[in-house]
Amino acid sequence: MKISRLSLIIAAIGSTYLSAGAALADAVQSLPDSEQPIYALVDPQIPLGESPLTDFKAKNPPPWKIGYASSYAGNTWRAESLNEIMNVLLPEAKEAGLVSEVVVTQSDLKDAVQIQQMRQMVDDGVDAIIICCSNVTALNSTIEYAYSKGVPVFSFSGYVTSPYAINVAANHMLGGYEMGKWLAEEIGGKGNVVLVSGIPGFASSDSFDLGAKKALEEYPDISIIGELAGKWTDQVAQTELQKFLATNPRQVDGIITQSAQENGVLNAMLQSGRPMVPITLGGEASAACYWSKNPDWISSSFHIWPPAREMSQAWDVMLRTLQGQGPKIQSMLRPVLPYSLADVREALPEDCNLNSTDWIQPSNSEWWPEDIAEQYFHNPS
Amino acid sequence: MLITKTFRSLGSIKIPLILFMILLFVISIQAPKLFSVSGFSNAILVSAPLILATLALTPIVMAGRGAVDLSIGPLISFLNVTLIAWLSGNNITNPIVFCLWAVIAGAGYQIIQALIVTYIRIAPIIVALSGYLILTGVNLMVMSRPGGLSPEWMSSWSGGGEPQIFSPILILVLTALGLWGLFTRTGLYKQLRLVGSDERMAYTSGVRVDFVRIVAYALGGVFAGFAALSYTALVSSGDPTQGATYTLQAVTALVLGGASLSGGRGTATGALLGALNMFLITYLLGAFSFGSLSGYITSLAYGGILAASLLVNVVSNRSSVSRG
Repeated sequence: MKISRLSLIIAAIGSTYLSAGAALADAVQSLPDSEQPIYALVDPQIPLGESPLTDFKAKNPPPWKIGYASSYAGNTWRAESLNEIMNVLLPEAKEAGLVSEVVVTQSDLKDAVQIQQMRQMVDDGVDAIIICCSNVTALNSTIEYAYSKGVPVFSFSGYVTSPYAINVAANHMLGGYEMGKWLAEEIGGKGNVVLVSGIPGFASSDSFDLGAKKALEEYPDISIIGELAGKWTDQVAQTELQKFLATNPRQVDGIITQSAQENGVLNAMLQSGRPMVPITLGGEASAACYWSKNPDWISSSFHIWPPAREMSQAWDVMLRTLQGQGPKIQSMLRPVLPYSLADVREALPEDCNLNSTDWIQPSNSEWWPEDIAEQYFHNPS
Repeated sequence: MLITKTFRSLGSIKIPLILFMILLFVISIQAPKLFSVSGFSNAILVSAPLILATLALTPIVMAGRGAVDLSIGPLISFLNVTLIAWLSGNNITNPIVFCLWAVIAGAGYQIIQALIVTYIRIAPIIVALSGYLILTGVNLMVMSRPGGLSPEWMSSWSGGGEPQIFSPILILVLTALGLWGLFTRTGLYKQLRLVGSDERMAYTSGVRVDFVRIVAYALGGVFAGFAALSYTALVSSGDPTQGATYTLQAVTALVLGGASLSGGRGTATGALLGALNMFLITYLLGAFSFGSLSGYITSLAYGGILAASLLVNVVSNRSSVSRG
């Protein structure tokens, strides 16, 4: 009796795994060949199965009311993505008669508050919700609640593990890996590295760290001598690194930092009086300006999470889903795009501002090309 | 005349009660969706952890010596991550074991705090602060990043599907209030109030001061277990850091509910009203479009209303004292 029950359980578990594996492979395989490499190295927690929104039909005809439940507002990245949705995407969609308004809330990093704001949005009758870089699991039952009321949730620049949401972002683990590899090569494959993480516990932050550590582990002569949390805010990263440098006399040969804080890292290094070392840049115009003025500093940089592009990708995916185009996969990932000194000099004037709060970003057609986007949907139009 | 008399008999909860009425009134005009089934069930779901956390602070603050348990937030997180990582993670999902662990571990932690406060005689606030720091570290060791899944039976608690008024969360809150109601009927409650308002007098009148304090802490720990259960249902996963945000909110709700931080005074109704008022403020502000400022405006409103209600309290107490 006992044995048969056990074997039943094993069979059940086995079959769920098999079917999950099959669905997963199907979902990624249904994407074009050019997209396959992006899914080669993915944070194992990111869901890559078929989306339950495949047959989704919007509960109302357009124009739709959209909710944007952001989890934080205190940095240049959030400001830029908010600017994109309110001042670029919304007016365009209004003109096209697709969207009537965007309701914005912000939870100051409190999950319970974000949960309440999202539930309130659902009850107030929004047609879709965009969330940003939130806790990966805490919102899941709220997302399920929204789904049960016909409101799909789109998480951009970060993922949630709920099957009912669509995640739209760069592959942050791949990004961390590529930036880690670049830094390791830049410092000659040996030395002491400081890792300035974002907000530990938040999706993209943890994915990035996973990738970065994986890359650095491939170089036995490189050791990570410090891990700091910069909270994706220049001022926080600057203070944290200053504290670290003041209390650690050891030599630092390179700094791998997440973005929306690299200028703080750069400033802390400048203030410390130590010789400048390679730092990973992720698109802040301020640090890029320093690079433009010191061309020998580093060899390359990466668009890891360009704020306006990730937002416009989420917006595009949301509109397509509301139009009933049927998303193929739960997470739509983008590769990290490198950018060079030439790109920086093209984007910034010669007398650029070292304290700028702007971003250097790829264009829409580079980040989420129309022809690629269409292949992520069953019935593109 | 009768109204003023009943009103005065309400004592410390009259200010939170007035605030509650005002908030409900404004919400009925600005955001009437709250008075629907889904609005109500969401309200219970989201506000339950705060209500229970505030309730967990109440007996402890009543015991006096300025005992504000700052570690309540990390304690909720600790119970949350251990429920998910140690129990759920090892396939121990029996509801009774789950609830018992939260309640017993919560009470156990608070009893340790009480023993340190009573026998080593360290100021409660310092003990609580150390607890805060220790638990913050321990939580990250148990679970380094958010994850895990709450057991299957708990998913019906978390409000993923159809909203319902009599949700298990509401029952959890009612049970806690019922427990408190039972406690107030025992002699211990009177002794606790006496210990909190004048420990020396309580001692000279033969009250077992140490025992009363330990019971108060243990009761607070039981409520912390309830709070952790409702929080775990809310996020249906484990999170090592988010619980900490409840510390400041619960202390605010405690004061907003009319409890005295110097001890002796505190009621479950006050804790309930304080926490509900905090929720209603957030809800009401959500009805206005503050956009990306909304998180900050909410904090600002909490602070402003807290200061205002304390001020009203002081003024009204002074006037009632002068009247005689």
